[in-house]
Amino acid sequence: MKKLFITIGLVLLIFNSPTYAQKEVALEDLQIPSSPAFILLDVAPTSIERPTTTKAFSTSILNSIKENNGIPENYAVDFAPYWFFKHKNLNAMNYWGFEQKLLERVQKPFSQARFGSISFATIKSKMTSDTIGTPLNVNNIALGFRTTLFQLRSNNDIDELIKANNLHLTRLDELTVDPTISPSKLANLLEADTYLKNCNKRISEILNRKPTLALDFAGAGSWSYDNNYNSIKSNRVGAWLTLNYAQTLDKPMDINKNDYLNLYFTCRVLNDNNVLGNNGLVYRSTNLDVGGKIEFEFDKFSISYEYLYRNDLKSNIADNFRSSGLIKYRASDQLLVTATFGKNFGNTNNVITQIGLSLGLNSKSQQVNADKIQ
Amino acid sequence: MRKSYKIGRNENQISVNVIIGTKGIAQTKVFQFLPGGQYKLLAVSNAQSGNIDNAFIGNGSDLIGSYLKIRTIIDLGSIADVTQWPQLSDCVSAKFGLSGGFLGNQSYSFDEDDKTDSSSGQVIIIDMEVNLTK
Repeated sequence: MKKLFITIGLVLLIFNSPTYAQKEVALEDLQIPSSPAFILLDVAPTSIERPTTTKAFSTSILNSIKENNGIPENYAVDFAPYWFFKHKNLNAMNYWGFEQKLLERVQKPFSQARFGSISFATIKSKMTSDTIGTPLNVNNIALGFRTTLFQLRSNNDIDELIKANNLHLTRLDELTVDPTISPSKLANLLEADTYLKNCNKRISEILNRKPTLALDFAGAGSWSYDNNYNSIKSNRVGAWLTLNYAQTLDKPMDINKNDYLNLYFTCRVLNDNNVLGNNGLVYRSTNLDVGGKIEFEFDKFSISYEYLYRNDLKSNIADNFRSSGLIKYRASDQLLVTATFGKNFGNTNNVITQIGLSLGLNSKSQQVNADKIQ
Repeated sequence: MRKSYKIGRNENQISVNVIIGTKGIAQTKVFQFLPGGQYKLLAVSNAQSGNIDNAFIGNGSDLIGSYLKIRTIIDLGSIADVTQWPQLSDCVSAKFGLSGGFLGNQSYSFDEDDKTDSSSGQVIIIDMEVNLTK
């Protein structure tokens, strides 16, 4: 079955590959981009570094500078600065988003904001000049930030987390009564304990559930230059704000909760100084998009409808909208098949009929081969 | 390496303070080891974290001549992404403190040889030992 999906997907990818050099930033998905800096670049970086320590971060930067004898021409990094440092007030519960005081539990809705990530990329590409002519070779730099400003979990999820945590600690208490056991022996004994493994698995499953309410923010900017300080100019600036509401459709006794009704409300602004018009001229645009999406999610399968109203703040182009339906099937953690149908922005060539295939690569340094990041 | 704390007078009331910073599940226990080799449990952290907030562990007369073993267990197993474990182990913050004795408030940080990781890095144990002297 997987092979069939892969074959169909590859064929579709080949026939749908974009053949134009200059394109508008694609922002079809209402969810906040995980690495907003990369979305503003026309060409995807071939490799994304994801350092988790200051040492790895500095090594990554220095190696790249050394390889390129200066500012690297093709480099992308995505990191969360919070995890570079020790935090004495961090504990499992406040990391999960709440605190337990005696019999009372208090949600900390703003606690996730500190885990925000920064994305940075430099890449060399061809860019159309302000007048009609041959494309220029320019260096592009993009910098972005994203975080969850606000998050609320359901009371049921918090109760289940507290229960699983208490079971874990009770078991830990039983296994650590004898302080004369050597630390290495005890560490391996705890690691091998099946009961603790089950508690950890349970906690992990609950944490994977969607929060009831979350407000995500992302912002990014990109600039280009051609080895001359005066040539530095702003290309694109964007900001995204999305409110997600997830209502579980499972019964309380269901252990693995994967069925949701999701509602998304989104607002985003994108200023682009390098849009190539149909007449071959470059123009500037600032779009304000406001819209929403309703999605029914049943484990690996989901069906959704989204509506996005676009207001062009700079040109006299009439305001327009995008209205589309989407079906998604997650065949595995690495394979996502989608089908979209609807109306795109604009008044011409605005029918959306698309079947897509996403291959996820779970590694520290991700390889991105797609020509365009959406 | 075992640290040392001067208690002073027999009637001094000694308290222990532990602050653990980690996103793993943590638990701390304070044991007293008597000169004969026997031990007893003096304090345990709460369910919220591996912290112990100024827990009274005894008068000077009960403690002088013995040593404390403060054992903190951190389990990172609830963090499904195992590639994070080594970095999370490096970023564990742990401060141990004793108060009420001749030395007043004394805080200790752990040395690298006080810390032990399980074979996969999922479980971290920090053992802090403190001699209690007159």
